Amino acid sequence: MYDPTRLHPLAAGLSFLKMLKEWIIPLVLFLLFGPGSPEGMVWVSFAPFIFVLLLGGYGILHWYRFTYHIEGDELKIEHGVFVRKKRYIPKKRIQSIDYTQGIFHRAFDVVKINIETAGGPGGAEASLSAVRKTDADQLALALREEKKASDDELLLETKREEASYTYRLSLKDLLLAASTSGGIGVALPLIGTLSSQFDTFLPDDFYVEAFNWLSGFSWIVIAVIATLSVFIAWFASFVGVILKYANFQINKFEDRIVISRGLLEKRELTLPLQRIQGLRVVESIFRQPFGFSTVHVESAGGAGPEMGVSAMLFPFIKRSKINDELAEILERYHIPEEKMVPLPKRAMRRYILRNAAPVLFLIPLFWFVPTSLWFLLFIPLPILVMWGILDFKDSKWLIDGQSFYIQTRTLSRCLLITEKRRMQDFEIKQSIFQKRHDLMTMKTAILSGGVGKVFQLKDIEFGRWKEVCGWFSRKHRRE
Amino acid sequence: MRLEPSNQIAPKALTVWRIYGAFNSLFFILLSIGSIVLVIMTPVPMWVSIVTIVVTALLTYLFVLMLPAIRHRVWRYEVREFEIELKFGLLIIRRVLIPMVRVQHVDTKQGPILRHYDLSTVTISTAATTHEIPALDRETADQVRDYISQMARVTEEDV
Repeated sequence: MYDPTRLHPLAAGLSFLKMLKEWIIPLVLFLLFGPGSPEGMVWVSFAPFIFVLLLGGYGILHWYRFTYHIEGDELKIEHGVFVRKKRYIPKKRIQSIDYTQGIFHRAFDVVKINIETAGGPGGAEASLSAVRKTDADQLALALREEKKASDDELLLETKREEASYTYRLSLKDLLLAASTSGGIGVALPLIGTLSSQFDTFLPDDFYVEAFNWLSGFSWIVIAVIATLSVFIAWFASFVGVILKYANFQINKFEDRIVISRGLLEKRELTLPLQRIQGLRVVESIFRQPFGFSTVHVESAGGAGPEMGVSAMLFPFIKRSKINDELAEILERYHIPEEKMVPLPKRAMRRYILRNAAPVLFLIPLFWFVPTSLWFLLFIPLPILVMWGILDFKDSKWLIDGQSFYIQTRTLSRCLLITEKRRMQDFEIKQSIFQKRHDLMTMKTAILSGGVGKVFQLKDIEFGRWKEVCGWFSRKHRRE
Repeated sequence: MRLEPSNQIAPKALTVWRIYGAFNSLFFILLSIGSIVLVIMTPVPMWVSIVTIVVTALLTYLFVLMLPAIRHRVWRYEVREFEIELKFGLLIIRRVLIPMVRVQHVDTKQGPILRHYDLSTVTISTAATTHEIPALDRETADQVRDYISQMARVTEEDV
């Protein structure tokens, strides 16, 4: 530990697997559609295997060249096969040390260590992909100990380790979340099956060749296949959610929250509170009728495996319970209690038009589809109009003290909760069409994992621009 | 909150935009010339060429005369102590507020045409977005850049 140490040899295998994962598609494509083995160039057909061997060799070299050790009050990591890279991390700056374990890790009783430092986005961080558990504990101890000895923050440090509140996802909620997760996953095969039925109505020279085999089956068989494929898709997403969100738990500490989850692979994500930029409450159409929603948290890139992604805060929660939990975990944020500002009635027409506009693309189909089936082409229109009305009704906004809320709907209903000091900019804009109806669009961007995420709400009352701009406008430094 | 940000961009910006517009319409002018050649050399009917020329004339008018003038008339900016305000647009009028505390860095840049007219573009970047003041005379641009960078530095705050 105080001399340059290599990782557990599993690290070589892991980096090999990681590279293989990136190359697997080109490799399979090459094997299937590649040039085969041209005359006199038999080696070409072996190329993929040689390539895989090279990747394996690279993995081993990578492991061989990767060393870490503690020297003085720094953790020193040196790595790189072709280009030598050195990273020195002062112990004092280390903010947290997390372990994660994948299935391979478990087999060898090793862990992956993630080390986070108090840097901004792109600040130093490091991970040691495979270290024997006992060594890891020693290393973590050594890194912490030094800190305690040198720091007078000792008291604070020990107090921090105790979570002040813990949120757990109950088994019932996990099962419900898993069974209602497959929004698109369920819908897609359904649509696929239906559209393959349409194709049999099309003129003979149209795709019919490809779907010819369908006619060999009776309707009952087709119906059974359809039901089965829907069920399989649903089951796949069911299992996926269980694997991902089993043991889901949020631990609240004084200055950060730690989200851990996973059945086979345990994942842990640390979010410093001051880096949290906003929340999104998403209600999918499968969950909204039952009052359930998911809550995502947008963070300005902390560190850890999920850095740069907006992370799940509550995978499945009753909307009415969100405020109770938030009061314990993120007390600055809550769902607005007062009524949000709806859009003016005259905006509804624009929402309907915008949603229904794609129908225009169906017009050319009148040419192909026989007259007796034209009614099918009219089905999407009322659905899209309804959708537009729903979209209009769910579009709302609110400014309340320092908090800013925008609610919109695409497929799911989505509520953004953020604060003035998190908004990177603020924009109002008005097209000539909006001008005619005295409407405008409100737009803002917040930081989410190192990049900007834009939120906008169309067609709000133009008369309120002075109020909203005045709210965002800074007359004083700290506002 | 004032009705309009106070400063207009450089008058010479209009000239620059007209030049950009001319470059854009060059393609259509070449197309019209091509159509005349076609009418003379091949049995393509006369009206094809006439339509092309009329459309080209309209587009050139739009690109070179009308749109730059509107753009220039609309463009306003104002750099205040704690925020920057921009207003611009053609069909969609946009109005942007950028708090000083959010500004990460500010640059000026010049392309060859801008340099010829001694103009600069000021680019203001926040952590999430980028905004531009397209054409200020170089001296103003440098002043604006230095002022913003100074004010942004004073108001250091966590992201």
